[in-house]
Amino acid sequence: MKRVNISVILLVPMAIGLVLYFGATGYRNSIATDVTDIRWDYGSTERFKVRGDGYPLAATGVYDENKILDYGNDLVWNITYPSGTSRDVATIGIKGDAYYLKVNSIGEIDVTCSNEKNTIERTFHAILFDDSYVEEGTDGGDSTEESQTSNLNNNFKVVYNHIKEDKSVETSRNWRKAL
Amino acid sequence: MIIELLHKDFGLYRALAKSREFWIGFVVRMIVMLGTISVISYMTYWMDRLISDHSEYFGFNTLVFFLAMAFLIQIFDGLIMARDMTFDHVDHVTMSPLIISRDAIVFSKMIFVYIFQIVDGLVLSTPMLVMYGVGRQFIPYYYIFCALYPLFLALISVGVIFILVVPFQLIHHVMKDRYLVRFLIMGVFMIGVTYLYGIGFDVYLKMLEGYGYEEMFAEGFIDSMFKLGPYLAPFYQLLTAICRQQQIISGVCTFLGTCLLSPMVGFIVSYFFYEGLVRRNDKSKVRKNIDKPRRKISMKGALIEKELQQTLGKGDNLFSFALLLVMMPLLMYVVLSPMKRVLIGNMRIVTDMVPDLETIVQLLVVYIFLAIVQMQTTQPYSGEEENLKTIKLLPLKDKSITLIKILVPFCLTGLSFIVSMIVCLFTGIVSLTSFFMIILNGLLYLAFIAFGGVMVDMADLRGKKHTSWISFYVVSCLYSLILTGTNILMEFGVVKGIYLLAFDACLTGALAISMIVLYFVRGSEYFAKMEVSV
Repeated sequence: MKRVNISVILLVPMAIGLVLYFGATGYRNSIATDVTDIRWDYGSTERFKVRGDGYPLAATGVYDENKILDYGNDLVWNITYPSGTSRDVATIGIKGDAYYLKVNSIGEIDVTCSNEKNTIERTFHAILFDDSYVEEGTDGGDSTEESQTSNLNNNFKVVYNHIKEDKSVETSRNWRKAL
Repeated sequence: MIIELLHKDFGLYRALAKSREFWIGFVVRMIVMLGTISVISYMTYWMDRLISDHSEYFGFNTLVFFLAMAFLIQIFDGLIMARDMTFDHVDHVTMSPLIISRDAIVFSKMIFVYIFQIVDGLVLSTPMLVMYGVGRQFIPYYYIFCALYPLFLALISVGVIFILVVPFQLIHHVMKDRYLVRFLIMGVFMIGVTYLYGIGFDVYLKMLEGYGYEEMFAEGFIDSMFKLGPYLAPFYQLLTAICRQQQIISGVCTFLGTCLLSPMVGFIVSYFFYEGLVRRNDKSKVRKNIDKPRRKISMKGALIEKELQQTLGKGDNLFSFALLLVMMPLLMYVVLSPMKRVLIGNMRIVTDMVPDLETIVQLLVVYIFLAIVQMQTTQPYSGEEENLKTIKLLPLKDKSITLIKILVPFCLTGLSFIVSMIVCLFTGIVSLTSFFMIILNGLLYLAFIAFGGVMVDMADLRGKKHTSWISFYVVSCLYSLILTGTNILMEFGVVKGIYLLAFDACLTGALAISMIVLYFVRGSEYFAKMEVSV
């Protein structure tokens, strides 16, 4: 076997791989698209009260409707735990096709929604509280949930104007029906 | 005298340059070199970017590691060339009556190998250094170093080659008649090469797909390269001086010292052992020709044996035997497996639209592999040279002689191809339907190139040189590319699945039949008109 033939036989698959990859990528880009944005009803900071059953998590992927949605664009949810926060404070669960946030104890977390490919993501900060946490130094007269404030640690104080519990939102898992 | 000797060695190349095959081979070599430079540059750039994001020192040590690997490949390449040149029986018989000193012969051969080592260095090492510098925006002087690096590296490699060529020749001599041991050694070697190629090809495709650091490299791989770096003298020392500007004097001195020492030692070793090894080589050749007992065998059997010897290599051609039986199935596996991963992974949406893309690509790889292996195993009439006269005088029907010439490599390549496909079937790379259809298409394509290649060669030897048998294989590769393109376009129409492969089989079968008909109709005429070169 001549050395040049060995070189050819070794280089040919690389050339085929290159043409295959760029050809297929070009074709994929012309017919399919990825999620370009994630739409949801959450603010930059949300609060969730500790409770036994979970909070449904909902978001919708936005993409060019003229194209078909590529694989790997199902939305998935993840939690990022700030340093010092226990991993037990909250967990993400799946019931059927729907994701939910199970809040176990007080703390702070970042909840991230992204597509499976992780080409796009969106995050909100979540404060997990229970009835024992009421803001210090408020006038004390207002104890309704809408105006409840929480002082979860020494350097964080936030006023909540509303609580999103069981808010009716679009489920996230069936949005690929467009395919 | 050294100039004259070099003139003689390069004269062989000049003589070859008059043939059409040489120029086709030259163009193929150029394409291979440019392709190698592109692949190395691309992989260095991306690997360096990935690894350097992880740690700057990892990037540096990885460069050192891969430069050392390139050096080893260079040495292996040079070692084969040096052994063929230095201990060539014909060359020695021609030179022995002349009054040429031994040192002049050895030195001229070292210079000859040195020139080719520079080319190897420019193809393998320079692209790595350049891309490493590009990623860090090094000053222009660095690129002058990159251009000069192969000149110095070739000094080291030529020294190492001429040290190793002595034991290499001894081992080669001892193993010459031990076919089983040689086969085992070459088999293990080819498995190793294919395994390493498989890793490289996998990394290459992962880079194209944009994999991350953790997904790309096995845990501990980069760490082991990092730890190995400082031991890879003199590359580590030189690059520490050039790239990091640390320990400049010691680094440069170590490298230049090795550049001087290595060729000197190589020259001394080869000088002392040259005469003894060449004489031993001559004796074995003479003994082999005279003392060998001759078995009585029929004319057809002898012809088949001759073709088998040429294909399987009873002499120095064992490389092709190992390649045929060991490399092809493994290579098929290591190539088709990651390609399948690409198609069912990131490209799934494309395979939804073009459902048979996977099989079409597999078929293309099969076609091109078959063309290259068949080209290698076939010994055309034009390659017979002065033996063509003997072949034409054989008391056998001309069609039988040609048929044996076609069928021996056809059967061997076909057998290797079927084994390869069985490996692919059992590893789940091809489905059962695809397996049978690829086998059918592959064998028809093989018949087309086997008959076509020999017929084109016979037509060529009639004295009207219009083409060359190698160009036929190039055209057959182009045919497979066109067929692949047509198949992809047909996928958007109504012809899909098994019908598509059946269409391919019909088309290739028609071509194969046309070549077989040509063999039956014009084979005798072409055979009679073949001109014997004197």
